[in-house]
Amino acid sequence: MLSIKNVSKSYARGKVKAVDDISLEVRPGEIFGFLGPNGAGKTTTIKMIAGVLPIDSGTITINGCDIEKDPINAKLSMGYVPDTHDIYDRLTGIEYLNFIADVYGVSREERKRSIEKYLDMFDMKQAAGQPIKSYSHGMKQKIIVAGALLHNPPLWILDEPMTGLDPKAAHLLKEEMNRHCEKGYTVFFSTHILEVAERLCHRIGIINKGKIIAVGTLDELRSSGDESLESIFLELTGEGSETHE
Amino acid sequence: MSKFLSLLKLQINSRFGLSMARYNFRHNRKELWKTIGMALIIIFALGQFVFLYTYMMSKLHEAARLMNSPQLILTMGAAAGGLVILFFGIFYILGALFLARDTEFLASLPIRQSSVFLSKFILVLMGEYPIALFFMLPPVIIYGTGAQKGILYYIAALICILLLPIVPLVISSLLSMVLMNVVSRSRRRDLIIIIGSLVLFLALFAGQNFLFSRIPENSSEMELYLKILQSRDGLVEWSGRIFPPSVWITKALSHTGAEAIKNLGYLILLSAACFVPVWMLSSLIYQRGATAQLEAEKKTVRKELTYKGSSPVMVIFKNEWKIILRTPVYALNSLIGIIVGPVLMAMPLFGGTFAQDPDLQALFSLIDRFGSSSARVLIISGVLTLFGCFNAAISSTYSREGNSLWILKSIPVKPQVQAAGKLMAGYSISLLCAVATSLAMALSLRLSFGVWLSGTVLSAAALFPVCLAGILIDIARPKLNWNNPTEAIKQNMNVVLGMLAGATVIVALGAVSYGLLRLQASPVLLYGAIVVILAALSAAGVIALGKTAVRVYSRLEG
Ligand SMILES: Nc1ncnc2c1ncn2[C@@H]1O[C@H](COP(=O)(O)OP(=O)(O)O)[C@@H](O)[C@H]1O
Ligand SMILES: [Mg+2]
Repeated sequence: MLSIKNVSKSYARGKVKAVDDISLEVRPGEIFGFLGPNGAGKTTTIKMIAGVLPIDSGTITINGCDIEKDPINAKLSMGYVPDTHDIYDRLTGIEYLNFIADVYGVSREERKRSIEKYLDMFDMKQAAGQPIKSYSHGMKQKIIVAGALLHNPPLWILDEPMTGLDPKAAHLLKEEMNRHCEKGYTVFFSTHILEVAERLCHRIGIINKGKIIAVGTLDELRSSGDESLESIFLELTGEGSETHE
Repeated sequence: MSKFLSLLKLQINSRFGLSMARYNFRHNRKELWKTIGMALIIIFALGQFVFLYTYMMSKLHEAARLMNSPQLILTMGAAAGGLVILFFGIFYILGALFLARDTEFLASLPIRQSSVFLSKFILVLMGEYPIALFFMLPPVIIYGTGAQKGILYYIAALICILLLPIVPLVISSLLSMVLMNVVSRSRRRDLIIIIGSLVLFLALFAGQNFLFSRIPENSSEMELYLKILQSRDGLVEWSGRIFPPSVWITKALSHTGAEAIKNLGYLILLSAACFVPVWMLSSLIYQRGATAQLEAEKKTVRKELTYKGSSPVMVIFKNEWKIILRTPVYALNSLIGIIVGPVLMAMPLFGGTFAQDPDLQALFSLIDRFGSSSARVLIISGVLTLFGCFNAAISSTYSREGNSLWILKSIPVKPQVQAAGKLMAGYSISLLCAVATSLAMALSLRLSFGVWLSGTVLSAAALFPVCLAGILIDIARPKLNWNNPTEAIKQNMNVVLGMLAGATVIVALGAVSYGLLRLQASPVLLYGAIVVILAALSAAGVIALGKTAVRVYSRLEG
C-alpha cells in the first residue's frame, strides 16, 4: 500500500539529513504508528509521502503510484492530515469541504453522505456554516480531518492527528481508524502519545535522528519480557539518558 | 465543478474575503460597517490621486490636440500603467506565486501545478485591474468624449484594459520562476530571494531603459522630429517605444475598421504568445520553486550564542531589523522603497532620453518651473517623503508580532519603550529610503549641496510624523490573527492606511506651502510654518503613541 525505499532528505540541500536512508513497507489492512522524539524526522517523512516536499533520493510509492512520477494518482489514493492548521480561514467550513470534494472528484451523493457523516461525528454541523477564522484549534483540526477523509481514500496519512482534539473526538477518530483498516485499508500516522500507539497500532516504526531504529509489532519490539512501549521508546531513542545528563 | 474552476473560486473567495463579507453582513454588522468605512476612507484618499491624474491627462490632451495627436494620452496612460505593473508586478507575482501561505496545502492536493499557477496568475491579474483602470479610464474617457466615439470604442477599450497587465505579469512570472528555481538549488534561500528579486527589478529597469533609449540610427535629430510629426501616429509610436503594447492599444482605439482590428489582434496575439509558453513552463518548474520556500538550511556548525546586553530600546530596534531581514516577504515589502526610489530618480543618468517618461517629465518640468529655491526644496522634499512613505514595516510592526505578541506583553519593558524601539526601526527604514533617493536625485538633477541638504533634512522631519501615524494605525488595530507572514504585511489594511496617511500629510503640507508661495511669503515664514506644523504633529503623535501603547497593551490578545 505504502512503500518507502531508501529515502533521504536534507532541508535546503544542507549537510544535515533530516531523513536518512529510510525504508518502510506498510501493508493493506494495517494501522502503522510512526513514533519518534521531537525533530526525529516524522513530519519530514510524511510531507514527502504527501508530495509536499521533494525527495532527495529514494522512492515512495502509494498504491502502486510513484509520488514523484505520478503525483496526481498517488495523491488521489491518500488522505493527508498535516501537522499545521494553516488553512483558508476566511472560508466557511462547508466551503472548504466542498472544495476538497471537487478536487478529489467526489460525486454529489457521495459528498453529501460523507460530509454529513463527519460533521455529525465531530459535532460540527453548526460550525460548518461559519468562517474557519472563528474556529478553535480543535475545530480546525476536525475540519481538516473531515476534509482528508471525505473522499474515502484507501490510505490515510496523519501527522499527529490527536493534537488539539478533545477526548471524545480523539476517541471517535480512533474508532474510524479501526473501521478503516477492517475494510482492508491502511492508516499511517505519527504520534508521540505512546498509549495511543500501544493500543491502536498493528505495527510500529520508531525513528530517531532521521534513521529508522526499530520496526515491528509491539511484541516484536519487546526484546525481553513485558516492557511497556514507553521504556522501549526511551531505551531506543536514548531520550532517558540524555535528559538526565 | 471542474478542479480548476473550483480552485479559482476558492482563491478568489479567500483572497477577497467574499464569504467573510457575506457572513459579516448577516451576523456581524459592526464588522461590516467598519469595512465599509475603511473602504470609503481609502476611496476618498485615492480620490486625490485620481483627480490629479485626470487633471494632468486633460491638460495633456489639450496640448496633444494642438499637435494633431489627441490619441497620445491613450499611449501615455497605457505606457504608464503597463510600466507600473511591470515594475511592481515582480514583487506581487513573487508574493502570490512563491511566498503564499497556501503553498504547502496546494502541493498536497491532486491538482496539476500548472493549474495552481494559472489560478494564482489570474488572482494577481485581478488585483492589477484597479491599477490598469486607474491609468486607462481617464484617458479613455477624455479621448472618447473628445472624439465623440461610440459604443464600439468603449468595448474595445475594455478589452484593451483587460489585456494591458498580461504581458508585464507574464514577464514577471517568467523571471520569478527562474529565480525561484535557482533558489531551490541553493542553501541560503532567504538571502537569495531578497537579493535576486532586487536584481531582477534592476534588470527589468535596465532592459526597459535599453529598449527605450534605442534611437533610430543614421538620421539626424531634426529629421527624426520631422518624421515623428509628419505621420499621423508618429508621436504615438515615438512615445510608445517605452512600452510597445501601448502603441497597439492607441491605434486599436483611435483608428476604425481594419486598422483598429489589426492592432487589437496584435495585442491579443502578443498576450497569448507570451502567456502560453510561460504557462507550459510552469507545469515543469513551478512547484519546485514554490516548495523551496518551505525549507531552510540547517547548519552543523553551531554559532556561538551571544549574551551581550543592550538598552531595551536598542534591543527592540535590532530585533525588528533582524526579523525583517530574515523574512523575505517582510524584507521585500519593507525595503522596496530603498531600491525603487533611488532607481527611479537615477533614471535620467542611464538612458539619456528617459526623462520622457510622462510622470517623470511632468515632475522635472514642475521642478524647473519654480525658479525660487524654496519651491525646489519643497518639491524635492515632498518627493523624498513620498518615497519614504513606501514603508510597509512601520504600519505592520505590531501586526507582525502575530500570536507571539504575548512575548512583548510579558517582558519587563514598558510599552512606551517598546513602541519607541519599533518606531525607531520603522523610521530608520523611511530615512534610509529618503537619503538614498536624495543622493540619486542630487546626481541626476545636479542639485546644489544646499538644496540637497535642506530637501533631505526637511523630508526627514516630515517622515517622523508620517511614521508616527503608521505605527499609531497599527497599534490601534493590529492584525494579529495570521498563520503566514505574508498575511501580516501584504494583506494588511494598516499598511495601505499608513501609506495613505503619509500621502495625506504630504498633500496637506503641499497645500499649505503652495498657498504661502502664492502669497509670496518670505522663506523664513514658509519654513517656519512647516516646521511648526511638523513639530506639532510629531509632539501630538508621540504623546498619542505613549498613551495608546499603555492602553492597548492591557487590551490586546495575541
Ligand atoms: N522547514 C524546515 N527547514 C529546515 N529544517 C527543518 C524544517 N522542518 C524541519 N526541519 C528539521 O528537520 C528535522 C526533522 O524535523 P521534523 O521532521 O519536523 O521532526 P518531527 O516531526 O519528527 O518532530 C529537525 O531537525 C528539524 O529541525
Ligand atoms: Mg512533526
